[in-house]
Amino acid sequence: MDKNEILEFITKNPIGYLATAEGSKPHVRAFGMFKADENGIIYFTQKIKDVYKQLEKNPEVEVCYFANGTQIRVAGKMKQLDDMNIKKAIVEKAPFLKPQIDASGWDYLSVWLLKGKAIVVDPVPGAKKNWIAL
Amino acid sequence: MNKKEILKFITENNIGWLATVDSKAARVRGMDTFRADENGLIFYTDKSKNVSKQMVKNPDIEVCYFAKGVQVRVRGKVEMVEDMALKKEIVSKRPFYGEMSEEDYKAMAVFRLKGKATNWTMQDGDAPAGFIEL
Repeated sequence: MDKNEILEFITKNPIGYLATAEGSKPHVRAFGMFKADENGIIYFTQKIKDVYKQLEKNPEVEVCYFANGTQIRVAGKMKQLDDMNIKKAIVEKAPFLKPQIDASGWDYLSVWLLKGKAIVVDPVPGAKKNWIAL
Repeated sequence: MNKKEILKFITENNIGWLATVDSKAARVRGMDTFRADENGLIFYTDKSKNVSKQMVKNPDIEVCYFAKGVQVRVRGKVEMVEDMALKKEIVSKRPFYGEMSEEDYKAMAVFRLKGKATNWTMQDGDAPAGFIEL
């Protein structure tokens, strides 16, 4: 898989498993992504969540995607984005956030951009594994 | 979910997303849970794999299971188990192993996770997680 195919795979299978480190302890949960393209992968979460606090403290993460026997792992650093247009687009796609934002304001929502590298764990035994910059 | 239901859920959805911390960075990959019962969760891999080295160095892990909108997360400490009978049982139930020499068995790494679990569905939203000892 090349870079474009990896981005397409993630776009088609947007639920990944996001791992964060809280000191020496890992945490992992299913995590939807908003958009994957040339600029990186965009995620969102509510600021009251533990995952938000963990990302603020240690932005080094790994996300694992899996579908049809192929596993893709993306490792890199998250950066918080303060972009109202993206926030509005996210809420359009995830309307369950709307009541919370109506009650608490836009600051309730945090947006994160992941830049890093990806490795495809091919189901073919002995297939070459290379990290690809995203 | 009570303890029994959690163990049943893991048994029925045995691929977990296992997170480790490698020095400071989080790592995550799909992992077959060989067994989940009163005695803990059993995972197997190869001693030569990074995941095995990471768990030996830092036994704090978290594993996420997700199926039909239900997410179960288990966190705790792993310990390496050198149990030939268990290794033989794993090999007999995982035919991709094929013929195993004594060296092959030595290279096999089996880990037991003891810890606590929490479960979540979309309806739980931001509600704080409760933990159950496994």
